[in-house]
Amino acid sequence: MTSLLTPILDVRNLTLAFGKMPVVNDLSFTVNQGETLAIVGESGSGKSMTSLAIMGLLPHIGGRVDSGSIEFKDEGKIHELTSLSDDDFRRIRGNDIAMIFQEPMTSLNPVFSIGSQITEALELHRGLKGAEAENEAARLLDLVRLPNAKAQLKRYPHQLSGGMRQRVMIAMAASCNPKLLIADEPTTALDVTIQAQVLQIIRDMQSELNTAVIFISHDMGVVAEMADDIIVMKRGDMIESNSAQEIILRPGTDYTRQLMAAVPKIGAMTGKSAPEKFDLIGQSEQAGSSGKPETAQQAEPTSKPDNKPFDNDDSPLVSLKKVTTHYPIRSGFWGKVRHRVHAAESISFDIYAGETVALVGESGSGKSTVGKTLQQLVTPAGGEILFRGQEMLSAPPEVRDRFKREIQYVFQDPYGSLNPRKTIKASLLEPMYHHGLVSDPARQVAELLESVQLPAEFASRYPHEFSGGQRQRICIARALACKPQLIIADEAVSALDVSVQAQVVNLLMDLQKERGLSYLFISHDMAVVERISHRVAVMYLGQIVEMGTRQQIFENPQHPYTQRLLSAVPMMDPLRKPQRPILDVEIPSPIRAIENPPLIHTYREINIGHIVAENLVLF
Amino acid sequence: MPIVSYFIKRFLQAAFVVVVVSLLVAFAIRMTGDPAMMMLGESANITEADLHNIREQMGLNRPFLVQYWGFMSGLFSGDLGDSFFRGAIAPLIWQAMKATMLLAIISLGVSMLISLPLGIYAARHKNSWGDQCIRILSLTGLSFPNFWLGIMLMLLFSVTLKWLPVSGFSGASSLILPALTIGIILTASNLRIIRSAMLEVLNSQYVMVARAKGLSEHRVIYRHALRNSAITIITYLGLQFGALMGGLVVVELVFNWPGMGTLAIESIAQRDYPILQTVVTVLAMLIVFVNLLVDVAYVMLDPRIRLE
Repeated sequence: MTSLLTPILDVRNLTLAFGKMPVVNDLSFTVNQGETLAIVGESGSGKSMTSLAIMGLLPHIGGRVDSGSIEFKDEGKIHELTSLSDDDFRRIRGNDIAMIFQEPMTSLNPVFSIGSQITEALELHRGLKGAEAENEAARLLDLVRLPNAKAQLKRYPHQLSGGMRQRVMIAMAASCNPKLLIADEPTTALDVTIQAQVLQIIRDMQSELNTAVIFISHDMGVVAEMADDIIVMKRGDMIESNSAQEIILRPGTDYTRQLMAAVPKIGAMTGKSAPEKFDLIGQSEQAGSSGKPETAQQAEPTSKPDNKPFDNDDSPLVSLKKVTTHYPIRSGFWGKVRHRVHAAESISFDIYAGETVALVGESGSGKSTVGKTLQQLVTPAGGEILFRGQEMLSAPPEVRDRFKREIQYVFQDPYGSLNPRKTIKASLLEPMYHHGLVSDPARQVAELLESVQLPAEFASRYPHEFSGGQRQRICIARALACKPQLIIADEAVSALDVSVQAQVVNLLMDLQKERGLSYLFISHDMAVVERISHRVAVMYLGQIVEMGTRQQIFENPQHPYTQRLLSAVPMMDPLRKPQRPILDVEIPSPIRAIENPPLIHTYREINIGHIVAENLVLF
Repeated sequence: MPIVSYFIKRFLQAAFVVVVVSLLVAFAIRMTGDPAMMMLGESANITEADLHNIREQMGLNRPFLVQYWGFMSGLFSGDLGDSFFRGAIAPLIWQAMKATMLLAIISLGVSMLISLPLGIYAARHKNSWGDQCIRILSLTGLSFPNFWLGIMLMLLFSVTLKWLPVSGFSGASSLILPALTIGIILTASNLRIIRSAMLEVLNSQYVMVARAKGLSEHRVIYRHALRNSAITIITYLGLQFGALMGGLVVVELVFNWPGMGTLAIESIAQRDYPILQTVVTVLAMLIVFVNLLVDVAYVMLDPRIRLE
């Protein structure tokens, strides 16, 4: 089969460096026409450097090609990209080889319209002008299923959602029918459902234009959906290379097995009622365990019942009753409130001691607003919140301050949530001083760091010295510093590489077992949620559409939105590349005119503790 | 029509600032002493009747707000009345304003012509030899006091080399030294802001995307990057304008340039407060107007403001 394929890119013994520091060593691979080669590895493995080297853009970020060759084969002509002149390279770049970048939010120039950014490449490489270029741009936007293509051309990037911006990026990359498309983590910053759409668009484009694709990712789940061949990289070295099927079914190295074990697989928990830790082979926390990736280690039953049904006899730790939070939008000359963002609408659920309740939904579904309301970071417009039976919103300030201590928040971005000018010790002690909990600072800080499995010496260091995973552990330690009852983890593992993500999830579950903590786990990632939660509430457009125990939601999803979320999660099955219909409808806006409030869902209980919104219509 | 409402709001804000500033100026000038006393000077034999006559003549015995209203309506109708010692104010202000604006625009223009390409060069070749030199030059320029720099230039080119006139206003050649003095200081500060604004934009993802499209480096820099950094640069220039006006007063004095600064200093020395009040109010209005222009420029440059 291989003999029939036409190689289009040949990379031989490529070595890349940043100053004196080598970042890629002796890398060789071939990409064939119409095929997808995936380069997999964690942050710092050199995969993005490789893509920039192929684009000839490495010097712009201070890197260089030390040795080796990159041959691009185009209809019999062979271009050696490492020694191509700048002018010659510009004829290939954006034309024959195009690239999609990771961050759709920052990839488009904010001051130019979508149309002018697409036509720019068309004018440059294909010589199209004026109306002709504009029509072609509209056709390209149609190709990536952007609704109302003609009208979109006149819009600006800030008016588009992340998913729409990434579609524009793909349209731009496709504009000159590239022979090779490099996609560098194209869906990492996107919600799962949007990710599924974008992956499908790339696949469609590939089969239409017979483009070769280099797909760069840290996520084995996504790679398994896309790749024909896979290269696994670690710290600049290629450690494994084979067909996708072979690597996924019979990984040849421990590292690849680790990468795969860290990918949360939906359905891995079927039939189990209690949450379970990830089985991380060969990593510190699970040293010496068996090498089989598919077996999950059974968590020991905790003293608390893990699967609390609604009619529990204990009273809940937290009770939200019809909590509604709006953000006013002022407009017009006098700045009157004419519209509101209906971020959270009539939200009711309980969290019991020692329980993890997951709040899932896409960006803009209002799940973070619920967390922030519970943490008293925003004031709700209505409803009540009971904390250990006491109404929170009408409580006197000192009681509210105590609630702020007992409920702690871990934010998504571990880089932004630690003050860069404070030592770790100072960051950990700050909330403790506020709540008067400091007795022996040095010992307390050491204990906190140990509780998140970090060495006590880290206390005197500064945040920039740590990796994302370590920082998130520090943030968890800071939350623990106040001896909370409830921790709100708001996408707390979403910004981390999958393998690190699995470790942090395991840490959270260990802490829950030791300390009887409750979690409100806010996430868009169904597969992680399946691991960690006892109960799940699915949010859509500011309202809960379905809620139940983990098993009820994952094994018997009733609401179409829940089903859509579940089907969007990548399957690590090389024999089955899912085909998903591409929806060209975006989730409607939660912004409504004051006089036009949304319909509040009514629910039916289809099983004990399993409730579903009666209204099953999505858009 | 969000854009119309944006402009109306900005305009009303600017108008409000003008009212507050002009009131403060009018009030502060009256705090410095009795204008009638000042006008008559310090001779010993002033009678109460003389003072009364003067006050009557100048309208000084009217209530403060009535006087203020008379001043402001005069300002907008172009009838500024008479000064104490130098006749009608309007032509004086008009002449001085022309001289000052000529100097400001020439020095700002020259400074931008130098600092824009150098700043972009420094940002593109960060930490190179060229960048280091530009940064050192910029810091050197910033650390000169403007009056000292003016005097040094005058000593070198006018006194020693005798290439250029020492001072005053006698044709284009007399423009060179004052413009150079202000231009050097402006260039030094502009360089820094242009360099850092460009650096920030050049590191952004959309610049990398523009390069990945195969655009020429020239187009990447001057279309994709500059348009974005222009937002920062123009904000800074708007804020700088006040400082520029302040610097002009000093430099005009050094070179005896017949602009607003010289007029202000002269009228302080003569205690000719009607001129002083007009000069200060007009300069303040000019600064408010320039910042209003900056707001308009934002709207043209940044769709995020335009379409908010």
